Amino acid sequence: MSSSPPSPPRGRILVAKPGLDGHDRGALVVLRALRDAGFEVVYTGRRQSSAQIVSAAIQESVDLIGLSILSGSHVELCRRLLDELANRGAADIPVVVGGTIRPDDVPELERLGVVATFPTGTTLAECVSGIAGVLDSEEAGSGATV
Amino acid sequence: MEIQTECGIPVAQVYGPDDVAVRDENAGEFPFTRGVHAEMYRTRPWRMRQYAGYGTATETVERWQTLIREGQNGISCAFDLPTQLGLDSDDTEALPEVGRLGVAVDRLGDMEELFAQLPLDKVAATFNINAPSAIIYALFLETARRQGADLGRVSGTLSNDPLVEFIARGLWRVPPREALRLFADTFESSLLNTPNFYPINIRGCLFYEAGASDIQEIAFVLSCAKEYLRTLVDRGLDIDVVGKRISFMMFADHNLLEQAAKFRAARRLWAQIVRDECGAKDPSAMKFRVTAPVGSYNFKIQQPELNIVRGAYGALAAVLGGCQAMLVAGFDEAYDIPTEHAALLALRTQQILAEETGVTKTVDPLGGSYYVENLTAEMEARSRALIEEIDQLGGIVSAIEQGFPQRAIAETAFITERGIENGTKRVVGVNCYTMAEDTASRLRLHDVDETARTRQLQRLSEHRALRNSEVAAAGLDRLRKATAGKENLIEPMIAAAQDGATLGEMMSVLVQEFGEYREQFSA
Repeated sequence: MSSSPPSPPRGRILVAKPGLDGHDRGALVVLRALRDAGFEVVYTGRRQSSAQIVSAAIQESVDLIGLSILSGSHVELCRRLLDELANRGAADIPVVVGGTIRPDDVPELERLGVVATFPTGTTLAECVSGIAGVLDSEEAGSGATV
Repeated sequence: MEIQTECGIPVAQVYGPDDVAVRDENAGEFPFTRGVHAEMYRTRPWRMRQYAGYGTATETVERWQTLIREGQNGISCAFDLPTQLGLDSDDTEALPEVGRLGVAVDRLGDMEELFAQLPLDKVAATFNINAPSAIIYALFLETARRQGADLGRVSGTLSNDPLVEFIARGLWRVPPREALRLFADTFESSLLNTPNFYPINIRGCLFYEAGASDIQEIAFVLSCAKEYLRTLVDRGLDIDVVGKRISFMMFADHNLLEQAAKFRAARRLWAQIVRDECGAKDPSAMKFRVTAPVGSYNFKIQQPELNIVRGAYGALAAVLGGCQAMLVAGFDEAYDIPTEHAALLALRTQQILAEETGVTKTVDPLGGSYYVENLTAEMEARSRALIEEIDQLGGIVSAIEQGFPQRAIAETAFITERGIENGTKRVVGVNCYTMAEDTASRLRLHDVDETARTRQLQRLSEHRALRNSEVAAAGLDRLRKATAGKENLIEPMIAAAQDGATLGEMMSVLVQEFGEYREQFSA
């Protein structure tokens, strides 16, 4: 029986839960949807510091970091993470955030450098296409280094 | 296409006498299917106790006083995430979360301030906290003693349910078996010191919120309960004594009839487990006393005022299910912790139910309904089968170590999410009857007070500066020594707190001695 070679993954994503919040329903459901859609996903587990998340991102050579935060502390936690990425020379890894994000916090997150936000109520399909869109534009934006 | 309950039980077009096995069951009598009390709401309504807390003790007391003035019975304390993990507010990882989702408690003084105007022998207090629950109980007991409260009249609940954290919520510190020791120390101390207090409230609702089905919620909560009972009996405590002080929390979704059946099935199953498996003789030790939270994950961001309607139906489900206490989330729950307006609306939801609907006039009004009785029996059978599966795995702790309940819940959560996205599970405002210009844009949200964290840090730093560090260190050292033996740790914790040790410092000792749990996820 012939089988076609598996398609290459659409990207490699780190799903992380920063801070103290332990609710992982959203993170687990999104990571499953991303895998079903052909992405490789590495999950850090809960209660990760910025240092741990960035180390994992670098070690796993991911194309994107997806944070799941339901505690309301997303602005501060994103600030810490983006600072850590910059300090470790990994600021080119795009960061997206999902969770309980108040609408009035979105501009501040974008100002900090978060590339996309997926507040409660975002469908899995929207998460997947949103993330795919970020990766496509990152690829398009990067200079061709052949 | 077959119509099913949310948990997958086929629902017939109509039910009749042939669908029900006639049972002779009375409320207030084993197996308590129809209610844990003979009179239920005819003599008094369920306890209405809204979950509340944020910032420092100052703001939290204000919200509590408002709720009590508006008719709430007692208080239900929401602690912030650092406190729920036993971290002091000045811990690096704690800083972004101080006072955000609940009140920050770092030391005895914070607990005393929370209850300065609330005599603990007159006002019932419920606490939702697990990893450092022993320390919180120690602070609570010492606060009651300092008030000169009649400890025999101190009432309320402490969740003190570490197993739920490993399964569904992730707020763990020490590993499961050590956590059970702390749980048992707390329970024993409470039996002795505050005999009318419930030192455990097993949080089935957290499984549901993580995505569990009704069957999984019943089976996992009862499996955890068996483990807690076994731990206490192994200590030499009498099952007929401890059974009377076990309480539960089960989610009340707004699919009314299924939820009523769920509560009835849980009561019937638990009573049988305690009598037949645990050997209890006193029927009062076999009662499934339950608090029902309403809202949470079911409250959506779209057209948020619709959550008021969902809250009303959920509250009705809880009452038809025979709960002893209830909390309803604010309609703005999907956005943030509730504004005062949302919190009061949630309380009024309960009050209207109690005062105006007449469902309290008789006990278990759905009893005898062909459908509800059939569904109760079906849920009982399916839950019992899942409990047996867990028993085969060696019990709930063993099952947790194998990732069994965690994977089961994640699977159900995913199926539910898919159902919402492909429209098979219809949710108004979300996948049907949506509005291009959603009313959510008009929603006023909780005012986050950025100064709260600064004020809490100030208090903590003043405390550290003013206390005698050597005395505090000695207190912590005595606690450390006590962990090596079998001594109940509550009194050493109280002594350490009196010496000025903080919550975080005491938790650190426990983690140093007992270890820190590492999640073995296979996601």
